[in-house]
Amino acid sequence: MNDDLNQPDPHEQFVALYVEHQVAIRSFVRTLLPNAADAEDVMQTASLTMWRRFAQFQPGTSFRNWAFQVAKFTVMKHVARKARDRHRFSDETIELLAQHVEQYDERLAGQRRALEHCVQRLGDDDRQVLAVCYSTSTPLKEFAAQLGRTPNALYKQLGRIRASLVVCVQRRLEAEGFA
Amino acid sequence: MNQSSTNPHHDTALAALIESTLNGEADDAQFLELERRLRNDAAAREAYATYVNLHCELTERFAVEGDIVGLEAEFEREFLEGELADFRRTLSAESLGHASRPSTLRRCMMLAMIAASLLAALFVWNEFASQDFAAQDGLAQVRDLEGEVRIIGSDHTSMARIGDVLRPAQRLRTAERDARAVLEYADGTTVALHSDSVVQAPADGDVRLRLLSGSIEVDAAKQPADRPLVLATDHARYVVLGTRFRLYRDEAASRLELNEGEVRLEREENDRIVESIEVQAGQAAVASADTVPVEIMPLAAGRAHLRATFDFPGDHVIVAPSGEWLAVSDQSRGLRTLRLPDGLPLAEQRRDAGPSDGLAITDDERTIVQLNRGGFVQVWRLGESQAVKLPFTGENVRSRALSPDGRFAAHSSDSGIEVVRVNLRDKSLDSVAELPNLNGRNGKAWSLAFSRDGQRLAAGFWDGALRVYDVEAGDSIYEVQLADTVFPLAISGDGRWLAAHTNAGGLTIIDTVTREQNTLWSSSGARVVCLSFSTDDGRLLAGFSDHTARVWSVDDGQPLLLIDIGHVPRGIAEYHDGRRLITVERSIKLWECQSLKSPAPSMRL
Repeated sequence: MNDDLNQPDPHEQFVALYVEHQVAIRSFVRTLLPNAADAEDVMQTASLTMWRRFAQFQPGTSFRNWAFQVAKFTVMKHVARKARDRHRFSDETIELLAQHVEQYDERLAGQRRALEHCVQRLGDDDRQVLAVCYSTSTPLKEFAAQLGRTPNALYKQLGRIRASLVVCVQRRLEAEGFA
Repeated sequence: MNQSSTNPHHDTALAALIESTLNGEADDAQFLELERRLRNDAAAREAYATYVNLHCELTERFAVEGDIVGLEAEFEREFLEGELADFRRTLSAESLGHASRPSTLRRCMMLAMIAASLLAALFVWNEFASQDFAAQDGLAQVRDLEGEVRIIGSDHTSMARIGDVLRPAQRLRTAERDARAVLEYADGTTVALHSDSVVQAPADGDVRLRLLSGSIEVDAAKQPADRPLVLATDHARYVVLGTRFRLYRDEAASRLELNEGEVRLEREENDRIVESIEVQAGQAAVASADTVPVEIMPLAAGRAHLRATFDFPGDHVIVAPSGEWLAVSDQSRGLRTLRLPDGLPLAEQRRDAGPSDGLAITDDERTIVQLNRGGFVQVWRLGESQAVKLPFTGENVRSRALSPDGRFAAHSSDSGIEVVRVNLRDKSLDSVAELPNLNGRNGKAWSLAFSRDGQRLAAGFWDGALRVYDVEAGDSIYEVQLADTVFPLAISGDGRWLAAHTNAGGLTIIDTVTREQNTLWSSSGARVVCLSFSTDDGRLLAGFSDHTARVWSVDDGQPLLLIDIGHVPRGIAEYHDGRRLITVERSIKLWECQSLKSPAPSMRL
């Protein structure tokens, strides 16, 4: 009985691991599924599958890698079911992208850490554009109208900001030895 | 790390493809180009994974936090403040109490649990609230959904679900492609939003719904005379007395197309009605941002009725010259032939299925030629069990075209526009011409189209340039500058007429002899999806994103026919001298049309 009490609650264990790796899993799924709504659907299904099959997860091994495998098969099933829909990658491309993310997972985690620093270095104007574009409460078109600019101009600015963040993140990773 | 010698993060073309995909704005050509690069280039995969990774982290940082804060605020404010406080007290006593210095991980878990509880409670509350709101007059409920549709409130955004109520000040937004939502009012009035559209339920006033962008289709129940249905755009108010109509809105103007009943259109300035016009069934009315009066014009007078629906999806359809059968290509099911008019399946070729950029039946009706986006031409001799696959690849192909007789194919790649002759006898591709891009690698053609004999090739470019080439001579023989990226594009069988769509300028028909241009459709509230000329070059056929097919007379630009297809037509074709029209997407639909002759001159083209 004491042993039972000392056993970690699987639910708590799962939530802890899932919360820790959620961003990495979401990024993995979104890489394989360019459509945001598809990615969200798959995240929900995959997280449920992970919970149901959590007993199969071997403690001591990488939860993230295990979750990637579950997510990959969920993506494959999703794509097969929606084969007729447009803008979905082929199985071959999904496999290549999954391999890439799995192989360079640590690097991608480093990118996410470095992003904090890089966002801080942005100017107020750029940070505001990022906040508006990524917070879904204000439509970009409306924000553009408030600024007296066209949505296209704002998209271009967003593209420039993302590109500068990519460069900043790369530089920071190189400084950390992720060349 | 396996990557190419160039830094993928400095590849602007690749960055542009990734950007447009992340923004949900990539067209088919861009998406396929991105996938091709991801398949073939490890450096491209690295750049793509980096962009997506940062995109997700930014989303997490800016959006999720905001949404949870918004949900919590709403939750607290409206209903369950007591329960939430109890929940928090419980959490505090039982969970936090066990750890005097809770770890970051534990705090994250608790936040996740709180968020999950809030979401679950909000879901339950929404279910009850929806039922209450449904009974209230003046509020619309989501009755049907396709694709990505969001409800946007002042403090949070959520994916729309069937049964959700659009509350005052909330907006409903459909995604740019393949999305649709239907709102229903208590009196049975329905409003269908097409792709890339936004409506808002105003917070006050008599306007029931405001179209902010895109297009809607309204089927209004009979309204009480003292309390009519009032819709609005920036440009006008629409007082509805029981009717069916479509409404389009872009930056410059709003366009009303009235199928049945009557609508009073009112233009306001400084809260005062300065113009009031009764629009009748069969008319269109354009109210612009300028101070010019509302323009009234007739809608297409032609009528069509649905004669048959064949349960075969597809992206291209073509009718044999005899009119006795058709061929359809579908990216999953391959090629298929069906007998007309009963739709009896005749033959199929499922091998090497894939998205199609062109489909042709040879003049002797013995061979079907398909230009496959997978980088090959497929020649299927009817009666033979397997089609022959002829590789036709290039670096970063942007667009492709097949001549209507299947004898010529072209694609635009990094190296230019390559034209080949499809040698049906030897089943080979012979090089015919290598035409230059507009300005090097970045000047690829975004759309290509052949004349009937394959001797004229029209190419539309990114910057709005539109050229016609003499294929054999390799010369540009006609050039015109349009407002924006040209897509899609069609050229008449005899090579005289061009039809081109741009986002900024709409659908324009151009006479290459007189150089006259005629704008047939100017609203960006709906965009052209597919475009072709009739076999006798007398009519222009277009499928639109608002689920309509439209036909115009080529000579004078008069609208001849307007059909509500019920889905976005991916392919459109006409036969039997314009008396039958075929559209295809989820199914093939065969339309019986009145003879499509130009009506008397109208008030405005």
